Amino acid sequence: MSTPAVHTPAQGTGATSGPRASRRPSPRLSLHSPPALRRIPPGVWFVAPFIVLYLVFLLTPIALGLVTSFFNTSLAGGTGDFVGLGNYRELLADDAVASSAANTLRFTLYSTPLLIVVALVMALLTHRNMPARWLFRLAYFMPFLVPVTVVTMIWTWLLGTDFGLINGMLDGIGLGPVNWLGEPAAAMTSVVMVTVWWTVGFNYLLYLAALQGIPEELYEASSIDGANAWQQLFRITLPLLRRTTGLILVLQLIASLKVFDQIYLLTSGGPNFSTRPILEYIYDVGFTGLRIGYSSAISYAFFLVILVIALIQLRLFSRKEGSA
Amino acid sequence: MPHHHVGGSLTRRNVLRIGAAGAAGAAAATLGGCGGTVFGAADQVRYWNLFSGGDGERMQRMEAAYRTAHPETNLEAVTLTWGAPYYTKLAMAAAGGRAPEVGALHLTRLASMAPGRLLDPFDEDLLADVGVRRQDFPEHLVERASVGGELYAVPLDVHGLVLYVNREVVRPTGLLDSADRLAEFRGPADFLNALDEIHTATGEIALATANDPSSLWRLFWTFYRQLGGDIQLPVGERVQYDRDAMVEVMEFFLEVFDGNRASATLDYDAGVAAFQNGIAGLQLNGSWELPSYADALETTGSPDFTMLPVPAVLGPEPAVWVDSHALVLPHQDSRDDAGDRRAYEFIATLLENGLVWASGGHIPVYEPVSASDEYRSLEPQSNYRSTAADGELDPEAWFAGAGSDFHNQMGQVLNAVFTRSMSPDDGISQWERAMNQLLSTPSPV
Repeated sequence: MSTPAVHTPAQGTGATSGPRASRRPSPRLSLHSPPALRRIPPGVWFVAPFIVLYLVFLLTPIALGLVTSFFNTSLAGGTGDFVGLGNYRELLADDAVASSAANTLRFTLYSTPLLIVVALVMALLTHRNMPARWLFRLAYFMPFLVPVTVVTMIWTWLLGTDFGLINGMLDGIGLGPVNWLGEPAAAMTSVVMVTVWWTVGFNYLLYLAALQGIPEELYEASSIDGANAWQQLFRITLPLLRRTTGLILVLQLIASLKVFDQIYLLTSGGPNFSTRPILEYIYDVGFTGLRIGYSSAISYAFFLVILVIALIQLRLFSRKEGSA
Repeated sequence: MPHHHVGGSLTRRNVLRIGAAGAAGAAAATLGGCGGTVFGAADQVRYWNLFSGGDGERMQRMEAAYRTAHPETNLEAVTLTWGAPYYTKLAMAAAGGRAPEVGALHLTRLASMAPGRLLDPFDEDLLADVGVRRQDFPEHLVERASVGGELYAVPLDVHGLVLYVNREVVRPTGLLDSADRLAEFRGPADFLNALDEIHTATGEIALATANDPSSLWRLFWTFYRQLGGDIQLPVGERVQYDRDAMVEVMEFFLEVFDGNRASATLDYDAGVAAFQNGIAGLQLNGSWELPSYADALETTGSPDFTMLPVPAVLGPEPAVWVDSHALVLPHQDSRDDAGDRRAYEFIATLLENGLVWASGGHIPVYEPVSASDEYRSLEPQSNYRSTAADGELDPEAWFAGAGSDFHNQMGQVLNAVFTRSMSPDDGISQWERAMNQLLSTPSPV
């Protein structure tokens, strides 16, 4: 923590006299600062505080995590012994790693398309002129602002099997009770449902902004040419939203792959580990089981999977951009 | 600051010089190895605990009693959330050698806290000086609190599963007499019949339970122990258990969880609500829920309830799941007599105020309190005081105990079996594999 404090005064002088000094070094400054310092471009001083924090709190832990993954380090003291690839060998044989990774991928597969399509439909609906449009826009976005603990508490009560509101309504129309959070298939459905309700507002906002960026003239011109609403949607709106969809897809994949909090709070990974995401297993092993070395190895293995997905996505997208 | 607290070449002058240089961060890093006394004020007791809600309120009253008796000492009490994260934090603090002077933990988690490395043993002479001796506690607790003949934990209470009974609902069925005595059960069939009678009378579920892993484990362990079943977890070997008894208990619960007698899908809060609102006539839950129902009774006039020991149903003995909140000395790199004495006095004060603690439903185990007339006349707490002697602590292993991976592994299986998505046999096999995998893993503590 002392490093940024030391840098602050230096950054201050760089910010005030830097730009001038780079064009025509003032004689007074050259008296005090060694020539090497003057050759550093002034922009560096602006990014220095961030770079320092980035180094200390992101890059260093990432590097340390990789090192830790080769040791049987315990969170309760000591670096432990070097085990080489032992942790990686163990995770390949660990059923829990495979099944929790599969749960994360399943969650991503179910939630991502829904979060894109629902957001798009809501944005298209509230982009039209309609009564109480502000209310709908507010209502669609609002859940995103609710903290995860509140979201899960509300939904735990709504989804309660015995006294829950949803089962109460189902009972009213003569449908049997559903064990929303206690039966494997229903639990994953519930988790996806809650996630969509909670986070779709962000994608919705991005789509709404993009829709407002499409010039009105395109619709005017096309309607003069005789295009109907469907043709306008598929020939004008959706193609012009493609860049936004690409952005949302990337952000959404990342968000879905790192799912943890709502599942941990809704089902704690149950029933019988059927919704436990890989991040919860990493947490269980590392923090409850204190085996931080092994849990680092799982993190890195999963990082590799994400990297592969990202590369595939990048290839697919660059090809699309090229053909467009 | 006495000199022996500061080790090596770090004299006061050096510290001042570094301080004057303005590198506070560097100073903290260099001093890191010197233990809590360097950072703590001179007369300080730092105490970490996991008591919130009704327990937290009572613990604060007990802390206030200490502050009144020792105004010269600065007691810094920190409450952290119950569960696995608490133990992670306590273990990490002790691993760094800068832990608080006193910590609270579940006795079943002692093995996971590496006594001797993460926990320091008690000096029993000093403990006797403040009025606390081994023989003041039930023997089976002292045994669990000792490793290699040394005492590592001082038990504050026993808290276990009890039977909550709604008098208004249950009395008309004849199961509860006017002196609040429960009818005797001669086997599981009697118990199931009793639940049927309550269900017939109310049209609602008879018994409220909870489906979270720890709650299911408590139910299971209670009745598995009544059958005489045991679980041994020898590290490096294979798990030993009684499969037939496990199947029998699971099949018994499958009859209980038929949707009328009890519901396997009720979560913890829903179970509490079901009993508090008078829907369920009985509840099997920990004695710590007493304050919720007592508050409800005071503000709304219901539920009219009492608490009884869990009856013997599957065997002749009323074995029942229990755990114990205990006080420990997390490891510090440097200790001194004055600091230890303050910590011990604080622990003694907590024990002496056991009646405050008992008002929250816990069973005091410090004899001067547990044998006192004041405690024996407490209602309904003294009804179930036999639970302290009949209680069965969790199996012992580094991955077992309150809020542990063991609870989670067994609880997930029990939930799957009780909701009928898995057969008892498959469930036990899955649990056995998980246990053997944990047993073959080198202990991180």
